[in-house]
Amino acid sequence: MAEVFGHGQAKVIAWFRLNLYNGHKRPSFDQGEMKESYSVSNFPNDLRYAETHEWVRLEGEMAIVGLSAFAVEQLTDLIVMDLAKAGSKVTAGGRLGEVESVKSVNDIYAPISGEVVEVNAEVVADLSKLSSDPYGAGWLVRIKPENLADVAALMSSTDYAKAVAGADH
Amino acid sequence: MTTPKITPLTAWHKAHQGRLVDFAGWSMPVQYHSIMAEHEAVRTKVGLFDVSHMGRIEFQGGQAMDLLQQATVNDVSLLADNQIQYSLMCNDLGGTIDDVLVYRVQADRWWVVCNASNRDAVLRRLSQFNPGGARIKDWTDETAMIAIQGPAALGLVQDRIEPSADQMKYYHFRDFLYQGRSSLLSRTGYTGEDGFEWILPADQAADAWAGLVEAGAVACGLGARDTLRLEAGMPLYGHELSETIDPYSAGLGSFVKPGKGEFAGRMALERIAANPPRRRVGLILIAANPPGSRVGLNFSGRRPARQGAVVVLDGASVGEVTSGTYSPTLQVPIAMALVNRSIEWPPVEGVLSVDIRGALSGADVCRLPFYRRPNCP
Repeated sequence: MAEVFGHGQAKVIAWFRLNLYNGHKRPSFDQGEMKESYSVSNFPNDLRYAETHEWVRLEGEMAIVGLSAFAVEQLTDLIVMDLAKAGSKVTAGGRLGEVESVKSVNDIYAPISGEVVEVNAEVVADLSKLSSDPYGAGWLVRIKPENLADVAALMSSTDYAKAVAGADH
Repeated sequence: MTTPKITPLTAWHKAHQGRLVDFAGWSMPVQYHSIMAEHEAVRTKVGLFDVSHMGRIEFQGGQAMDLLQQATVNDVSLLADNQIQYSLMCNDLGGTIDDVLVYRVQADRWWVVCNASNRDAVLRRLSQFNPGGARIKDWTDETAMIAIQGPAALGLVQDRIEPSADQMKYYHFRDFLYQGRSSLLSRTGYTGEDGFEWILPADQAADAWAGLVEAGAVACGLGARDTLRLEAGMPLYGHELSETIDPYSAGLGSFVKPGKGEFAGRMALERIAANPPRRRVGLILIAANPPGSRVGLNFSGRRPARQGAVVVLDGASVGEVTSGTYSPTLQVPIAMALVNRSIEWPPVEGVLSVDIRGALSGADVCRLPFYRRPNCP
């Protein structure tokens, strides 16, 4: 009973990594048989989405960032989350934090570059908000974008739904 | 890379949202929906596990008992018919080749159930001790194995499989006919709950499994199997046991019987018994940030330590975590670790910590198992 749970921390960390397109191997589990297939209706169309499953909502010149319902369902059994502190700079594609489940440690990536101005302490204290309200109370951080155009360059809900459906086969 | 092997239940797993991973060369479900919910089902009701990847090997003939006596460290002569023994197979240096269950059907007929990852090593080792020519038959591919675990397991097994299952004591088994064909039911498990493990012909498995699910059992993956066995303080090969970890360091010295006569690894084991290099311990991680920990990385005491995390005492490494998870039952991060036997044990309260990816977390010593079921014999 060794291999899956063996080989130390690196393997555990890599296991459920959620990147769709960054050149890393897809998670090794077979997603082909998910009961609820995800469609565009699961992804609000006023948000933009990153390949790494974060969403962004623009509010004036501020960007709210969260995790998509698909990502949250894939993660399951979340126990602790760590996010970049308010005041820190993040880079698009760089690390925004990590979320750990019973079985795995997963990176959360910054969908855009900018400065973190606020962290949602309530979601850090109660991770069930991620699944109960991923696009509302489950928001993660508020970022002041370096460049507002970066938000528009992210995927639309339609494109993200296609990407998720693609990962689903 | 070869394609992972499938079990007679793989199609069912796929059709029911099982997340399949490659485990020891087998495609196995790690979870269906939530590991915590599956874990809870086993602690409170009954869960089902496909453990068909485990190796199932039969031994027949007058030499079978001698062979097992030579190849394993426990004393198989203590077994009565229909009784099972936990045992280990060791290499010549006292390291562990595998931990196994030995089944005595009768004096000239035995079974061994071994870990999937070690099946080839176990078969190789056994054939080295078979000059007498016991017949060895590997049944793994022709059978399935289903674990039925939890407080409601007995009722379910009596209803659906074998009405007299209540007559079976812990670590005993019965060879019986299920729908007219031979199968083998044991009162064993790897969860810390009452339960059974059932070896049956491969082509009967899918219907039998579906029937058990229909009767209320919750399908569980290897993820819950791991959290359950960890709470129960049970070792997992590749973690608490390996070719370089001896049974004494792993806390399994009571299963080694040097008095029984000659057997593989005996010389090394007798030497190690007097002075094992390490000890297996249970740890509960706590929120405390001991001096020297990195500022700003307090993870509120919920972050588990994983295999390989270093156990720290007075700034020095004194051991390594072998398994760790968040305990769904106790609601705290728990870990098993191998620590140097040279340090004082138990240590003074508050001095031990674990390095979790650069952040030190306090660690309280906990007597194993972490979890013991109510009314446990």
